[in-house]
Amino acid sequence: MPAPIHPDIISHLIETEPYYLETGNEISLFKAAYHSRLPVMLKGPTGCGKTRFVEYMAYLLKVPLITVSCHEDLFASDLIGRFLLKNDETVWSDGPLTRAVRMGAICYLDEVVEARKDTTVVIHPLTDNRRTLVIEKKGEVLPAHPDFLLIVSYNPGYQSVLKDLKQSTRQRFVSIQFNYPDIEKESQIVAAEGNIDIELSVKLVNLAHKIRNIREQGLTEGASTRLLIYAAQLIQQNIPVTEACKTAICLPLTDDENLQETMNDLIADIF
Amino acid sequence: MDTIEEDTIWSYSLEPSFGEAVALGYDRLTTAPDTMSCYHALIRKAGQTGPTLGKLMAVFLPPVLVCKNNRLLKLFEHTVEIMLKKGTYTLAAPLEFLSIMLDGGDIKSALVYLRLLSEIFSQDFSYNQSLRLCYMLPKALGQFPPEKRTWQIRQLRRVVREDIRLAELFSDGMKNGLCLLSQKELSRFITMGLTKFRLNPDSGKKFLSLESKLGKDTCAEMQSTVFLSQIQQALNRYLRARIGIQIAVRSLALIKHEVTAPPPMVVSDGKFIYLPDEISIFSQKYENMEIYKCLTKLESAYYEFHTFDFDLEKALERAGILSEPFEIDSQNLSDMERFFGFFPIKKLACDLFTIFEHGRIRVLLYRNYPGIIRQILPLLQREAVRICQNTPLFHLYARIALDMRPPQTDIGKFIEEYAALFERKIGEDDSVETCAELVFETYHHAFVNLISEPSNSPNPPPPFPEREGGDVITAPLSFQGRGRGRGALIYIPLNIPFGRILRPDIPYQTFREFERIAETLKNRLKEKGIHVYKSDIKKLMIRNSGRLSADELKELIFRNAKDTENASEPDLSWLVLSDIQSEIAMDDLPVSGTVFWYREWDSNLNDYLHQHVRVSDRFVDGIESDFYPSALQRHQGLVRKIRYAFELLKPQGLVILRNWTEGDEFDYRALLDFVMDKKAKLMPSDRLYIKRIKQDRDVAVLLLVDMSRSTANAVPGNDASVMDIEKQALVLFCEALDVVGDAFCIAGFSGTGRLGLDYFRIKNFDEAMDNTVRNRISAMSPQRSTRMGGAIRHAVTQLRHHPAKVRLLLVLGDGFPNDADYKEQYAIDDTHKAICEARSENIHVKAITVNLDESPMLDELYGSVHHHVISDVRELPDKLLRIYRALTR
Repeated sequence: MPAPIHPDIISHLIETEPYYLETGNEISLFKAAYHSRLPVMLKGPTGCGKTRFVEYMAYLLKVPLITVSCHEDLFASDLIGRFLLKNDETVWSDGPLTRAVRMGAICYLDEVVEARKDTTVVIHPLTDNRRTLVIEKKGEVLPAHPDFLLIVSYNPGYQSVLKDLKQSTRQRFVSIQFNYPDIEKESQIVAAEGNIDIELSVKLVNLAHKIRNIREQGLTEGASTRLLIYAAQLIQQNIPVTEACKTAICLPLTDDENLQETMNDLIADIF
Repeated sequence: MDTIEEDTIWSYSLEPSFGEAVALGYDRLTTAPDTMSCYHALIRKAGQTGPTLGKLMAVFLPPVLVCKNNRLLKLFEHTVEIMLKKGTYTLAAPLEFLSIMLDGGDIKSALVYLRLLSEIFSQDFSYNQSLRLCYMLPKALGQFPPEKRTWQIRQLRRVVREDIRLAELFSDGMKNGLCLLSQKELSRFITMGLTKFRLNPDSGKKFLSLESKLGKDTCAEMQSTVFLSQIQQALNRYLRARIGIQIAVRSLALIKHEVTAPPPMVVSDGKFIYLPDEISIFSQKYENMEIYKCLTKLESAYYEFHTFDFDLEKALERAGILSEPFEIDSQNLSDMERFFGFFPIKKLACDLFTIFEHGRIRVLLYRNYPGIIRQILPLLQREAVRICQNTPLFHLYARIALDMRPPQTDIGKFIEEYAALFERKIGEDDSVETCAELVFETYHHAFVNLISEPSNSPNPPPPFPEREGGDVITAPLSFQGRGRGRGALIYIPLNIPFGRILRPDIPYQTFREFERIAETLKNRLKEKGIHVYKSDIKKLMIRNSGRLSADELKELIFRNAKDTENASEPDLSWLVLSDIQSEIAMDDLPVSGTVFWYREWDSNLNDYLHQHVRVSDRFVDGIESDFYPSALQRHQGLVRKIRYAFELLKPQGLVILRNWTEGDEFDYRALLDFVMDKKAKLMPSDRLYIKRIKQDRDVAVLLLVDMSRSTANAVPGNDASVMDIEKQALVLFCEALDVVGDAFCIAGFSGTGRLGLDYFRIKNFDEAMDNTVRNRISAMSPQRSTRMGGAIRHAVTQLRHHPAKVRLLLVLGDGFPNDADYKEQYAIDDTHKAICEARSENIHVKAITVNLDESPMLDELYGSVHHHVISDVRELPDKLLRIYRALTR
């Protein structure tokens, strides 16, 4: 029996095509994983295009997308749902994960390591052959819609000593590694997203590469593609290049004055 | 001779030490025998006053006399006379410092110093004050750098003339920052300070000693000299960011190679960029700072744009010359120097090459870093105008390298022609070999037309190698023949702004070993019909700090072959790379320390060999070094992260547990659920309480580091060795464990044979993390082999007595155990046995192996879940702590 069409399915569909430039074979990998409904883990540094990729794939596959940004106070009930009081009555309200399971959407748990440890256990039965969601409060075991897929993203470099996924969680996913694209592709992306000419975009990317060289000197992470796009967008708004780079790239990266100075030197050299 | 004898005997009879001093004094004066009579008279005179004074004179007179400076001697006598009025006790320390100065040949400062002494000691002050001055003065003056000493002492004289008590304050001020001021600035500062002192003694004193904010600010404002040490870190960070390879700035004083006089402002050797200790060219501090930056930016361009990767073979191919035109003795010469050797006037070839190379760098910088060109070019142009030689070659340099307009003369036109050729060639191919091609094309004409003042000599210029095709500049008729036929010329070498002449020999010396290996390898490959350029192999080796792998070599050959459309995967199975790469030298430490004997498991006998291994247990002798702070500095970001992470690991005393049926407090979230469930007519959970539980952590860890020879191996992409990285990891480890408060101990081991196992203690459990421990870490160096079983047994002995609840032995190694009669299975079995013994004593043994690919043998050695492999040692500093954290979480 085909699954009933969920009413808010439309609101979760992505209608306009997001800009995405493939940097490896991630699209075909993802399609294959989706075909077999294998849960996917996207690994990579911040701002390298993980979230954009998910949006793009949801658009390509024409599947609704529900995104949950995980944080330290995310309890299992925030994902599954809870009873609410309504006119002195208790009404069950589905959480985002439950909704995705019901409607057959892609549920994207962004930065999953940020979530509390107990929440990750909720996704275990969903990510093996059972494909079920246990709603303890209602005593319901909800089988997942055939189109449902769980994606988590995770940044291995980020707070790694503090937070790490348990092996039992990790080993339920196929993983796709993301990294900053090569110079040529990254310039194309920055040019397209920031709406600037390619020559300037190459310079911005060059700057980012140089900044990534001093990552171990005190930057937690190198300059991300996202920051480059921000800089490009500022430049597009007639902000002088050096100013835009400082505002969008240097200042967000670090508070260390010495590093700022080095980055300013690089900006002065390149532009 | 008689006088010497008499004097010695006479003085010896007064006091033996006086006699010895006189004998030594005469000995010293053998280089200046004419001063002996003076010496004789003066020591006789002094000796008559008493043997103490006699001895002082006997010791401190010779350095004065050997200078043969009458003024100095007079002043010396005069000063001593004045000081004697205060007492003989005032002489020793000040005169000792005078001798040090004179021994260093600094007569000028000595004169000023003597005047200072006579001025000070002619004033009235108490015994205590004079005693204090006698010791304070030499100590303070000893801190002044010799090159600035004269005028710094002069300023001290000004100060003491005002008030003797200011001497000490001045010395404090010097320590606090006055030493950074130039001569004029210091003089101005002292004038201000003295004026202040006259108006208000207290504030004047604080001003002079830089205790007051005003003093500090004035000093900082005045200071225009920039010191390399002030900007070194920033420059290093910049270099790391811009060119991404390990290259750092250093003081020119540290350069080991010969440099021209006057020394250039900047020179580099492939690992370091050498810059002057201080720059005070401009009157503004920021301008001087800019010079440092500009020089660094320029010099680093050589590395970014591969100047020193010049390959003679490529250059000859480009110029269409099929074989080396002359046989040149190429021993100890870089490719570039060999190239210059092809030309009759090497220096001219070198200068032409420099012109084109600097031009190439200008073009490339303009393309990639227009900002650098904007900052640097005006500076270079200004300097060029200042040092202008007004020779055609200099104008050519100015046109091509500095983009300046040539003079509006025939030479100018000619130079423009060269420039057009240069622009065209560089536009086609911007590699360094293009410059060689340009030299080939222009040398002859430059020789004929551009160099100055030919002398009259009958010899015609030596012929130039025949070339196949190529562009030839037709010199304007008016220049044709000028100098031709007149032969050997007095060639005036090109003068380049900031002395930035190309020095290919210096980087060559640094990487000579790589060059040799690359040459050998190239020839071996050539024998097999595989063509690779030497410079490409060398580049690969430099990038990997000397390590070559067959895979990378294959890729290199494959890439080359692809260019020539002859692509096929080369077979390099015949090649034994380790044969070519030389053995790394090792150094030994003397054997000493307490001896322990341990058993060893013999897997062949299936039994222990008792009292088999002799372990000598001792502390490493620490050396003063800045390794520890610099490692901390280098991993600043990581340290911050680690401190944070370990701060969290530290038991906070109390931990909150949720979902308890009884406890200290309600959990509000659970309470809300309880109400909801009740409303929904569900059975609510009764786990509504939170509990606070006291948590403690009782961990003791011993980190056992393998210090075998193999840890001397270089790490790819880094100029550090495996040991260096391990040491950096130790630094971070210490920092982290200091935060978390776990008891920890560090030891290293190495040795040769069963009787020569060394166990080096770096830090004991009960030792604080002080400088001694830090210096011991710095002193750790690769030693000999790895007899792991004995070392583990000894470590267990050390750990056994520690009362902690959790005891952990962490073995950090870079491979399998290996020693004389201790190989393969035997070694693995014994080590495994030692680990089992430790585990039976409730000591957890975990291992981290670096620089080794995962191997099933490691499971056999340590047990399958008890070890971690870090294939790339560079990740060690980060991972060691992650592993430790995971292990003790």
